[in-house]
Amino acid sequence: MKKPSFNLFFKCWQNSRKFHLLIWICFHVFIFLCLLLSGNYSVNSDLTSLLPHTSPVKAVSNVEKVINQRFNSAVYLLIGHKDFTTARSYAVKMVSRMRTHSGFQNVRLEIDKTNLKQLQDFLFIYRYQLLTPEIRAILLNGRIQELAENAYMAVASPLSLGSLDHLDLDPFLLVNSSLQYYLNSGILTNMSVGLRDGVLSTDYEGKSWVLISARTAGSGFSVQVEDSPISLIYSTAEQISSVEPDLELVFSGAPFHSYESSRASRTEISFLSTVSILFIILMILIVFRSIKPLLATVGAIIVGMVTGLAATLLIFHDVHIFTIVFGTSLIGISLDYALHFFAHWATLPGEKSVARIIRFILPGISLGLLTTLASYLAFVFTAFPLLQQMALFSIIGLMSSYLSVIFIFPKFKRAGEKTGRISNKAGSFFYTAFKNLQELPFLLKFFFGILFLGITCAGLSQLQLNSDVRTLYQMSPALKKSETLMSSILKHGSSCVYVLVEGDNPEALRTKEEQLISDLSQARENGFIESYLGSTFFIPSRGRQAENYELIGKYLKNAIPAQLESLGFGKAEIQSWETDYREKKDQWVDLKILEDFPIGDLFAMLWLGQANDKYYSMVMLFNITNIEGVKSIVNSSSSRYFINRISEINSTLHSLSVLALIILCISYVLIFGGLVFRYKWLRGFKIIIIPCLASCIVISFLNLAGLPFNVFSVMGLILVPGMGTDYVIFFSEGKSHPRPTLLAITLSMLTTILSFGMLGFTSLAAVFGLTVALGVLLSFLLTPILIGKKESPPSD
Amino acid sequence: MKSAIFSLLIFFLSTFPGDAQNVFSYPLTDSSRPEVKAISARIASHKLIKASFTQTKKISRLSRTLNSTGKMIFVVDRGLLWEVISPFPSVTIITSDRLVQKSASGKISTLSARDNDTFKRFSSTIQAIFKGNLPELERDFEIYYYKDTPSTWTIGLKPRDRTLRDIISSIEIHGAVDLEKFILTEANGDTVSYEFADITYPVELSAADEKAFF
Repeated sequence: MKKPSFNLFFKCWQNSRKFHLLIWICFHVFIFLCLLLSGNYSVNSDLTSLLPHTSPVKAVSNVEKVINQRFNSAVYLLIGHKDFTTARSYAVKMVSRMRTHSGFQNVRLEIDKTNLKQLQDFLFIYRYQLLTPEIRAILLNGRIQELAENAYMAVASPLSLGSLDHLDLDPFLLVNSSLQYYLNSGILTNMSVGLRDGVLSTDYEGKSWVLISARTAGSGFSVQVEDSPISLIYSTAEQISSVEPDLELVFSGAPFHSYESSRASRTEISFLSTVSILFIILMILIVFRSIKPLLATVGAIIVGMVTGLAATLLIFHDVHIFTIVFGTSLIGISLDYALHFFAHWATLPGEKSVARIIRFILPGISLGLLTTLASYLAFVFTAFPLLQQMALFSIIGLMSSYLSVIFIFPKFKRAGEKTGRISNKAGSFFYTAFKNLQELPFLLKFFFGILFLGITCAGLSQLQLNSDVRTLYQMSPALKKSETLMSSILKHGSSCVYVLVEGDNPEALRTKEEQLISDLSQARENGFIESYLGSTFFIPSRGRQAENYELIGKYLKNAIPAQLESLGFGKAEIQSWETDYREKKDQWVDLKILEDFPIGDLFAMLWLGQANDKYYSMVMLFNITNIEGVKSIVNSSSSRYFINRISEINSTLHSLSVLALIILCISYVLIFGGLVFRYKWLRGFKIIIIPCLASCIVISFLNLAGLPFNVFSVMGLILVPGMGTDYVIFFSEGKSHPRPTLLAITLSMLTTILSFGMLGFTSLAAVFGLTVALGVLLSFLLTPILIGKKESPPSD
Repeated sequence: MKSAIFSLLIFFLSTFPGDAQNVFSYPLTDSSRPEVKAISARIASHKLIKASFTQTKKISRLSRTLNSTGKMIFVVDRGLLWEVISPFPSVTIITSDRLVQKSASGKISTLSARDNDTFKRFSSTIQAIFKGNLPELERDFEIYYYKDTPSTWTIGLKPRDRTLRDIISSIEIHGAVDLEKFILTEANGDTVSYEFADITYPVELSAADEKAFF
């Protein structure tokens, strides 16, 4: 079979020379124009937006996003001091500063004294409609005497909850029961804090801790970390700590993590970009001794990155800051095409036309581009927003650089003698090194082969896919300590586990939630769970409200005269109670009533409202001791979605990793197919085995070094065949001019390793960067060792 | 339940009334401090106090007064037993680590004080009053003192804690040789008073009292 030729590409290139500039301009202008017309776009640093969506049901997934935004915007601060008054006074200072920042909403420290009164009044007005489960159970079991005794005890005891102001209209003190139930269930359910001097406070390890809570205006922040509300908290904390060194401040909440990762990312981006660019500048200046390749290469990289970013903003509107961190690796890859051009430009003697350079390099860089694009394209089909963004960023960026090299660079004039001389020397050096590697003594090759085989076997035998989301993000030691301390002080239960309830209309939804609450009470009796909180705690269904009213009429009405008489009241009060009961028959607690109510915020968090054509509410679950037991009780009925955020994310990550492994296999098959098409079976196999072996060695090495084998490792492995086969392709396509080819390949390898290797120093992309960098390095080194002499560049 | 404890503190404290209207015109001064210290020391000298009480709750909105009677036992380092005998029997026991309530039909509800700061503060306030722990009371209350006659005195307490102050405006403790009466005035003006009688200071608990403490 005749080897397929890339001459067709060259002919197209040759015939379209008049339009090169126009095509290049159109490609870039089109993307930027679309971006300008598309309107809003932003860069965010919210960590949680990186995570894959867990629910397969779209409407539920959307509701989950709403919940996540609410959870993720919550900020908690504890200010601790051995003296409560000191802690309180600094909490007041902190809050007054926080309230000056528009990025904060609902900054809370002091609990308004009117809240309790309002709650009591509300419960009094709707006491016939809002019965607690305990009171319902007492009534349904006919234990009226128990109810009467409880009321007597409250009246006579020094210890009672609530006012006795309405004893004549509420002789069984239903309001007091409801008040206790609401306070216990709602406000303080999952936090070990009490009211002290108007604030929520607790004592822990010899210190009094005052709680401040707030919400940030959005779950994602501007990249301008200096202006972020979290920055204000940190600076205020620093100021007050300098005045009062014994003061301790503890922070918790997703915005702190987003802020810190954002700050780290900015530093990382600056560092990576600076080091990469400096290395490239230095390398080009040393090798080519000319400013022209430097300006052209850096220009192509910048245009490529900006175009890639523009395309990503155009498609996703909201680009994550980590996309840009990952995207810095594009510098190393997009440089390859420029280096191939300039290696030939500087070293080919007697070239009159740069068209011949294009003819030399076009097959190699085109095939290289296709294999790399094939690898990145695989990421688009994952459910990981970050990787999708990074893939698009890189695909467009690479295409831009490729177009710059083949359409813009040929317009440069040939290099001078000096440039050619130095480049030729460098080319000869790399060529000799390549030959030396290729001609390593068999025994040495055998020794290294056994060594790597041993490492690979040892590493692979212990290899386990790690899908724990916590291994993807490492919080700073200070923040980790803060979160742990906060958790110990507040003893709060997890809020990552909840149930979404779905209904066709608000009433149907509430009825379903009440059924769930009833099932959960069974779970609590079984010891599976400590507590839970749902919106129907505040607004029961109309059906339940009517039922409660009827229960009063059926079981309590007849006992009212005796109860009132026992408490010293007469016929007038009995008459008043009956009138009041009749008048309140058709009143209902509804959404509107809760609008201006202090507990309305809590209700609003639980009542999620309409999404598409369904209604949703959330029931929060606290301190679960048997998650499978609770899950099975929840799943015993339809229209309920048990959400265990961490567990589901881990499960999704596992599926994603498996999918990525399948994509990895497919990309190998595709690349192998292309190689067979171009180089026939045996040679194609020899080429594809290089990245394959390199990948095995790398994952074994990283595993032995204690790094997790997670979804990012697999994503890194996907890129290795695309880039690892490039070197063989370039060797093969550039046989006729080995020195410039080897010069370009070596420089490309160095820049790629640098770019991805630098990611190894980042907080999020370390595993990804190291996998690619080591994979590419090993592919490069294995190429001369494994490739047959027939495929190698000819001797001079 | 934490909130129940909190309210419990408020309502318990609200049970100590009196009518020495002018005590709050007399903040504790350096000259009156030794007298208050002496009173505190006298109260603290008793490790065990037994008394009967009459509780009077005035509910202004209803223009009604609710009376109840019973007996109380205070044991230093053990806690307080509050037994209402009439009109509705019930028992409340407050120790440093738990709160127990027993209804007329014998239904018992218990609350553990572990990790419950509100309960701990409540318990320590009770202890401070009956143990005459002046520094602890001064930490949590503004203290007033007025000597009504050569042999009778009134100590006034105003909570420093604004959460407490929003519900209880003041506490008055009346006494002569013994503690005689507590008056608690709520923020809405309602009062609850406790008048003590038959006060004794046994050396140790009787077997029956020991049993009553569970």
